Formats: sequence, structure tokens, C-alpha cells
Amino acid sequence: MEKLFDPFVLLFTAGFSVTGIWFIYKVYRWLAGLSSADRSLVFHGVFSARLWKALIETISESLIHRKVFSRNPRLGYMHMSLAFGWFMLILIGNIESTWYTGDLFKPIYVSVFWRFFDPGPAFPRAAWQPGFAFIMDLFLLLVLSGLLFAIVKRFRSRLVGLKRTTRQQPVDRLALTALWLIFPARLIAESMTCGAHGTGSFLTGTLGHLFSFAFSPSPLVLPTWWFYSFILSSFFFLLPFTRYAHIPSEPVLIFLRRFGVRVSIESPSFTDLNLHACSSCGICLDACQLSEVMPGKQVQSNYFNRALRNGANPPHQWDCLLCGRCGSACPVGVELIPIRQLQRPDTGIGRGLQLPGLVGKNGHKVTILYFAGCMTHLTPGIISSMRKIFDQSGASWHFFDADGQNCCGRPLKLAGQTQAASELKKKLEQDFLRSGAGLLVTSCPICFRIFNEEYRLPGMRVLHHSQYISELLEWKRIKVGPSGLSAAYHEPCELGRGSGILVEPGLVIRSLFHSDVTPSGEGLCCGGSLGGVALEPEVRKAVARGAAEQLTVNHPDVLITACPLCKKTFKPVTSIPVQDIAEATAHYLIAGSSMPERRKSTKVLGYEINK
Amino acid sequence: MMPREKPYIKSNRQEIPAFAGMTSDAQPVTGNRQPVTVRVAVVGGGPAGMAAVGALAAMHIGVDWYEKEDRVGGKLNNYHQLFPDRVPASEAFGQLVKGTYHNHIDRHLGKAITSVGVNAGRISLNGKDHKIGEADAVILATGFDFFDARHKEEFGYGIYKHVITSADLETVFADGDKLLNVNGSAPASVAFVHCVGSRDEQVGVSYCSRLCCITGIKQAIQIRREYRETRVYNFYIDMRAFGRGYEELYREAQENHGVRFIRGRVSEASEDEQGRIRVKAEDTLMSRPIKLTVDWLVLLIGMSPSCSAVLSGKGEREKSFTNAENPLTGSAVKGQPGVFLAGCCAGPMSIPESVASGRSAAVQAAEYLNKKNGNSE
Repeated sequence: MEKLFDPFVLLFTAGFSVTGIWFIYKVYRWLAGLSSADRSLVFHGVFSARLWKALIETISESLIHRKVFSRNPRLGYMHMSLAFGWFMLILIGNIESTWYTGDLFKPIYVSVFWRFFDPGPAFPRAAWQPGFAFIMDLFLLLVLSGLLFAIVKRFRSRLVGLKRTTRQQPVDRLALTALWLIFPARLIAESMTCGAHGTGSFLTGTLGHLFSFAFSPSPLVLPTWWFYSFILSSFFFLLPFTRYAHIPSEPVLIFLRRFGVRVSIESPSFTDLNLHACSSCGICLDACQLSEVMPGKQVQSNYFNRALRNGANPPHQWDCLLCGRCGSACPVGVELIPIRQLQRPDTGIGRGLQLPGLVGKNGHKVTILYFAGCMTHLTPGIISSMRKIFDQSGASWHFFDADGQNCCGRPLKLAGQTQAASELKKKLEQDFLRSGAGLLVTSCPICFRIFNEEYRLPGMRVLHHSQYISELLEWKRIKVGPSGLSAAYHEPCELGRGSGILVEPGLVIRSLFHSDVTPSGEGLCCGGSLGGVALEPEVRKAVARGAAEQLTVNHPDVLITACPLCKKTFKPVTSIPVQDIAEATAHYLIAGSSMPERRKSTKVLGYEINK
Repeated sequence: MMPREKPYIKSNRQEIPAFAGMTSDAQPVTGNRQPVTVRVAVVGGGPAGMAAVGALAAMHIGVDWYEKEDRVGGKLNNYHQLFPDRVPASEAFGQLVKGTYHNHIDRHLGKAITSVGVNAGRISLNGKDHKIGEADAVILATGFDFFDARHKEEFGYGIYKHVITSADLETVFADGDKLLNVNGSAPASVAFVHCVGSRDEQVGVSYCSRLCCITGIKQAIQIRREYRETRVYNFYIDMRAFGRGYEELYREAQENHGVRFIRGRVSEASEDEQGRIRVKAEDTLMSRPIKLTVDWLVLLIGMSPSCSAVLSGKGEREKSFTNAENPLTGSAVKGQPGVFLAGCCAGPMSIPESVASGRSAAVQAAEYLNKKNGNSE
């Protein structure tokens, strides 16, 4: 161990510097581009327990890939072995070099190429003594096994449990080739050195031994290290321009997210960070139903992110139905749907539309407002069922949009008309509050979501009718008879995944049908969503048909949904009757079950209940 | 789940005297009793089927005639008057059914054929779970189904009492019933919606059913003749009056009967407190939204295929109109030698077209059998 330098390390150092400088610059940009509110979130987050939670999440997600594991063990193993294995090689290489040099602040290349500078104790005994050679070989083996999975995945993705993999752009392919070569190159370089010196552990030692049987490894030592350095250098040169930028970006995302930062128009740099943290792993491809019906079209979020990252126009931007399945499948937790929505510019779709004047409902003493929503006006069966349920429960209610003139604003928002949406919102908020009602019930998950998330309605509860029915049942304001039938439940995207309303629909359905329906938040896309502005009707229909087939695979007597749009979408594509949860409730309502009204009462649920 | 309510379809309808009794065995039959060696099966008893069996028998070919209902005539039985000349449906039925009383024709009523199998020149006809018969050639005249208007829930069919289909209205006329408003007097207004279940990607129907336009015109005139004070509106996408006398009837409806035609689709219907129907639409010629309250809303429902389910045995969902091998020049079905199409199972057709198509299929079946027997000798 004389001088810890050889010219070949310069190659690596140059490449690594490119990545390093890029990363420092990026972190600065990400932080500088946050809104002042978000920056203060970060500032406060650093001095809180969130820091530790972020650290733990970084280890469990960036290194171990826990979420990928839980979804798909084979794919999880692949990601884990590459990330965790490589990380351990770096960490232990560093410890080993520090151990022997006693210098904590040596150049990085020293620990990266440590085996070149110090071939280690003689093979086979001595490898066991400090253990370094053995441990390093162990992790190299782990990485190599992961590499095997990665190669299999590229050519036979089904073997690792993926139906589809991302179609790479050329620069990604180049970086991928470099990445694949890193570890075999390292194995050969280390084995050459070990072979020349008769050192190494079970992997490098054995291979080195074999080399020395066949030829004299000594003259090949330096060329193989040059090659290894060259490969490493190529990878780090390419990293900032490829999907591998996710490697340094993902931990930054995890920390900022833990501190409470979210994708918003005010903090554009956070969107950029999200885009860089997308590893293009392709898990979203299988989650997306459009993969099935629009094969070869790059609609999915990994392609969307890549295009945005490259500064290009995202392909098929208006085809996406915004169902959110990709977002909940994403192991990195990239905010895919908010990013997509921010990218929908004011296109003018619906501009020039005469927005109808809103009708104020003054002087009407009601405790419940019923807002059917424009889509529910296309499914009058739901409205008549709700009438029946309200009347049966003895509620004092008012049909707010009986003439169907009001828009909640969300369809406009989904079409990129943010300004018009917020004007509508303001007007409607006022009219709701003026009514003096304490409860707003809506039949439409699309309306429900915007009422819930964006409307300011102090003193007013907002419920979707599935929640309302569930509460009526719980308070025994209505009674339903068992239907004796079986049912499957389609979770509407805006209700289940979008608003987290899972328990109540399950309760209502289980009280009506003998099927054990437990909504999971992983509902399919029905194909009818307002999110897809440009999608061809045949494609929508194919999505609907596919979803209906999956939902009715056990041949239920009835397919239940809780959204007028889903109902309308499914009806023409399945022979199994499709009903809204309100229609099913109204159908099996037992008459005369509501309690008699008394004068002394308190307000619960917006209607009068006995003390 | 939801019981389908068709307010004016009655299960115990009376036979209309003009052709009552013709279905009984006591009627005179024509044709000598010379033995026939080949037999052709005709599936379906509507106009196309009646025309086909009549033509086959006249060519001395034995016919097994299958009809799923217990009487022949098909949908003609439920019609009142036929456009454009307002000939009573019973009269057209009488003309067609006359040719079907023949020694060569064996009627099999109440027999639903759900699939046909072609095997070495013989064709088997199967019911739901058993074989019903065999034949040397088959003419499929299974007709069409009315589009299920409940799939356009925004119009409220099956939910609002005063929303009916054109088929329901035809039954009202045929039964001599009155179309009264909620107070029991003559309706102040009636609106027709064209293209319900036609040219509508939302319900997966891209084709034009061709005959709803003229049905709407005919029924609108009929209402104006019956109730002089009733305003009648027709909401259309565009009017397709292609047949003999259709365009003239369209003109007559406007000039002599004051029927108002509004270009624009109805977006939705709702029920007001009295049970009348509120209609929202757009007048695309005037570029303005319209709101209208009417006593009755009539949905001009399109024609849905009912035949390919028989051919392919694929069931409800795969339904589509069946294409002939050479649709311009013949009605033989590709890959199923000896199977021919007649009438609406090949696409929407009027009654004269169905009849011509039935006779044409009969001739093609005869040609096919001649050729086959000639070859085998």
C-alpha cells in the first residue's frame, strides 16, 4: 500500500463529479423554487420528529423497496438487491478503507477502488479474519443476483410478475447498459487483482484462482480496473439525463413530502422533484387499464413524467381518465394525478359556455340540502330513489338543483378551466350557506369531492349519499330488508380512491346483500370519467367492458356502484343489472320504519331526532 | 331487478278480427300433396319469414317454419298502421299470411331456435338445451329487438309514467286506447325524441336504424289527427326520409298537420310535480337551449340486432347485425353453407324491404339446393 492513486481513477472522478455537481445544483433549485409557505414547512420539519420518520422511510423505500416487495416480491427483490446491495458495497468499502488508512477524509475513489489498492489477506483463510473480503463478496453476489432478475425482466417481464415494461428512450438504454456492466466489470477487476495476489473471498478469490489456472492475471489487472472505472464514469455522466436521476432524487422527495410539501401551482420545483424521483419502473403500466385497450400508446404516467422531464409535450395528455390507479400503485409515491392536473392548461374547452345563473333559495327552512349534480340528472332513477329515502327517513329536505342548473365546478377543473371553476364555486358556496341547512347530501362523487376538498362551508357537513344512507341505517331512521341476492361493488374513483369513502358503501351493501363487499380503495376505472377529454368512445367502451368483466367474474346478481357516471357507463356493457347504492336501498326499503317526530328534539344528521 | 313497465302493453290482447281464425288448422290449405325430398327451415315468423316460407312452398320445397311465439306475424301484430300510406297492419299481415297455408309448410310454433350447426351439408337447429330439428338449408329471419330505452336513463323510461316508446305508442293506437294527460283530458303537448338508441356512441350504437324518422312522422300525424289541439314536437338530429312517399309524408306533417320539427338532441327529461315531463334540449338551428314541458314524451327507439346470437351462440353481449358473405349481391352467411339471411337480422329494414329480402333468400336457398343435389348426383 504505497500511494493511493492510479490514473484510471480520474475517469470515475470526472463522471462522479458531473452527477455530484448536478445534484447539488438541483437540490438548490428544488428548495429555492418552493413557495415561502412550503419553505417554512421544510424549515420546521428539519427540527421535528418528521426528520427521523423521513430517514426511516428513505431506508425502507429507497433501499429495501418495501412497497414494491409487498406488491410483487420478485420485483421487490430485484430493486432491493440492486439498491441495497450497491449501497452496502459503498458503505462497507468505505469502512474497510477507513479502517486500514485511518483517514476519514480520503478521496472517494480510494474506497471505490479499494480492492485495487489493497488486494487484502491471502485466500482462503485470511478472508475470514477481518471479514471485509467476505462481506464485500456477499453483497456483490446479492447485486449480481438482482442484475440477473433485471436482465430477465427486460426480456421476459412476466417472469418477474410484470405484464409490461417501460419502453426506454435511447439515452436510458445507454445508461442501462452501463449499469448492467458495472457489477460484472467490478467482479472481473477484483477477481483479476485477487488472482494476481492469491487473495479474495469465496467469489472474487475463487474466480481469481480459476483465472490464475488459465493464464497469468497480473498484466490484465490494470486494464480491467480501467474498464471498471470507464463504465462507472459513463453511468455517472449519463445519470442526470436519464431515469437514474431518481436514485439521488427519491430521498429528497421523501424528506420534503414528510415535511408536508405537496404538488401545487405555487411550488413548481416540487413537481420537478417528483418528476425526477420517478424511476420509470413501469409498475403504473399494469395498473392502467388503458394499457389493455390502447396497446402501444404511451398514455401512462411513466411516459407522461418522462416527457415533462425532457421538456416535451406529454403524449395523450387528454386521453387519461384521471382515475388515479397509477398514483396509488406508484411505489415512490409520486403525485401523478395532481401533476397531470396542473399540466392541463386552460384549453378553452367549454369556454363561451353560458353558465346559468344560480338560483338562491331563501326563506326555506330546511335542514338538508340535496344536490343531485348534473350527472345524476341523467340517471333519474337515483333521484327518485333518494326522494324515497329522504321522505321515508322523515327528513326536512330541499332539492337544491331540482332544475339541474347548477354546476359544482369540478368538470370544468378537470378540463383545465380553473378560473371558471372557482367562480362557480364562490357563487354556489354562498347559496348553500344562505339556505341555513346543516347538511349537504350529494349523489355524485365528482361533486362530493370538490365540495369536500375545496368548498368552504362552515357549519355544514357534506356527505355522499352512500354515507348518508349508512348513517340513516345506523340511526335506524330507515330499515331495509335483505334482498337475498349477491352483489359486486364498483368503487367510483372519485369516491373511493379520491375521497377515501370506503367503509360506508361497504356497510350499506352488506346490509342489503349477502356478499362480503369490503371496498379497498383499489377500484377499477369505469371508463366514463370526465377526466378523459379526448378519448375515443370505443376505447372508453373497451375500458368499461374490461372493468365490468373483472367485477362480475363471480356472477353476482347485481353490480352496485355509487356514482351516476359509473352506472351509465356500465349499463350498456354488461348483462348483469347495474344499480346505484341509493336505488338498491330504496328498492329494499321497509315502509313505516321511521320514528314519529316529536317537538323536543336535537339536530342530528341535519334532521330532527327524538331525545 | 327493476320490473319493466310498459303501460300500454296488455298481455290479454284480443285477436284482431281481420286475421283471427287464420291461425287455426281448419283453414283451407293450398298445394298438392306431392312428396318433397328436401326441406328448408325458416326461423322467424315475421314479415321476412312469412315471405320466405310462402316463396319456398310455391317452389315445391318442404318448409319447417319455426316461430318462438305461439302465433306468426312477429312485430307486425303490434303495429297499427304502416307508413307511408297508413295501410292497417292487419291488412299487410293478411296478404302475407295467405301464402303460408300450404301443404309443404309445417309450422312449429313456440319453438325458439338459439343456435344452428352446419355439419356435412346437414344443418341442425337447436333450442336452449336440446336439438329441435334438421334441415338441408336454413333461412334466418329472426328480425330485430327494440332498443332497450332504459339504457338512455336520462329520458326516464321505466321511471316516469309519461315517458313511452314508439313501440308502446303503436300499441296504444292498435288497441284503440287514448293518450290522455294527467287530468284525464286530451294532451296539450307531445314530444318525440328521434335517434334513441341509434347513432349514439354513448350506448355503443353507431348505425342509423333508418325507420324511426318515418315512424316519428307517422305517429306525430296520427296524434294531430286524433287530438286537433295537441302541439306535437319532434326533436331530431337530421331527418332521413329515404323511402317511397317518406319525404312527402314529412312535408305533409309540417304543412297540413303543423307538426313542429326541432333540430337538436334532447339532453335530459325530468318529471314535474304533476307528473308531466320537462324536457331540456338544444335547438341547433337557432343555437339556443330549450326547456319544454309536455304531457307525453315518446322515444323513437332504434333497432337492435337479435340474430347473431343464434348464429354464433355467443349470447347477449356479442350481438351485432350479421353480415352476409357478399352483402351487395346475396344473403349467404360466410363459412356456414346453406344458411341465408332474411329481413332485419341483416340490418334495419322496412316491411317491403323485409318481404323482398325474404323472397330473395328463398330463391337463393332453392338455387343452393339445386346446385348441391346436382353435384351429388
